[in-house]
Amino acid sequence: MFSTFEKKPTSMALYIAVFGDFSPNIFQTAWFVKHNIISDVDAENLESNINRHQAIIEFSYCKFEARTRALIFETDQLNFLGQTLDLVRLILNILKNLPCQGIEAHILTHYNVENGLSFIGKIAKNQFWEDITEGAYDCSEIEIKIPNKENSKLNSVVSLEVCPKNNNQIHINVRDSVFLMDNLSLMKEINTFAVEDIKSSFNNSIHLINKVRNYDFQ
Amino acid sequence: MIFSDFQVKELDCKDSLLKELNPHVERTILSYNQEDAEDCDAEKQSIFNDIHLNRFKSRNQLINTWEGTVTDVDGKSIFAKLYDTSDGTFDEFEFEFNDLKDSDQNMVKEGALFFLYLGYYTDNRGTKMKSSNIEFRRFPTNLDEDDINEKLDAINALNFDDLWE
Repeated sequence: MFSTFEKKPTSMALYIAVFGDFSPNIFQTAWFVKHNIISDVDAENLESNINRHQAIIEFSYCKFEARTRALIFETDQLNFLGQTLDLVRLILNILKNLPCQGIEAHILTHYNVENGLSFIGKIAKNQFWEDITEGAYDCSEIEIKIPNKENSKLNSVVSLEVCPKNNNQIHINVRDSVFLMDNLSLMKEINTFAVEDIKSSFNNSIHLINKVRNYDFQ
Repeated sequence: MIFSDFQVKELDCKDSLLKELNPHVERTILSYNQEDAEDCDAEKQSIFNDIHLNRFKSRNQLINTWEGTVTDVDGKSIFAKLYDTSDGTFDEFEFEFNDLKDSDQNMVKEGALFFLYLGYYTDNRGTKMKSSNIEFRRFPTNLDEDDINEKLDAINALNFDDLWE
């Protein structure tokens, strides 16, 4: 079961990126039918845009995008994450003999607050920077990197910013490195534990976002 | 060293053997990683900047999701056990073959896993309607039965810890 947002974001996006070397034009809808990911009837109704540099296929629950250096899975609701992870598991299994350079999980959330600048200012306000910039420091963006205790090469990047479209909204984003391969591992070597680790990465990120959103800044 | 001993050692100590036999290989891999690291970070960042501009928006706005497993099939009726992912509760559920997409009907058998979605669907003309949808979970066709059982065990360990009580 996935963690839940204690205060519901107005919108969100969840990404899983698998890094490696790929040929996007193999990811035709017929390829998905062949591997039993979708039926041939469903394949006819899918929106897709496939060329030598990029393949984009929109399922009802997620968007799959293949580029030469990454496969990206994107969904817009936590409730679709289970089925999206099934797709990740299936594709890693099919591409089992390709090298994998790493996996990242990324959450973007959009929250309504009374005043975005004030919300972030309470966290970021610092006399030191205001003195240096002579008051021009607007505290509208914060980004911190949290190193992984077990592997110093892995880290989570938490970023907050005032929404550029609306001052009453903020973005709280977490970009987490799930794996970074020291040498070129094959997909089949990581497939058995990858999905579980992606899932716990999302749960940790949701926990972090809840902490930031709920904290009572004085 | 007899051949079988060598194999065991190779499996257990792949990295140290690699250094022992050819230290140059290790150095080459490390320098390759260091040279690529900065390019790779910039590339990853640009991928994320790019995809954030063109966000996916599903036509379904979900209210709730259940994960289910088929417990019995009786004629046109399918009986299942449901797991509510929002609060961790279980329920019994009965539905019919007609509720499924044609392509999913041949996947119905005891033990099959599926998602049940409840929410609002907005069609391409903007009309919004309540909808429920059942999606059977799929597995690659190139797996043998042992592989499928292994994957099912992995999925069950993730999400269905209490379902099999």
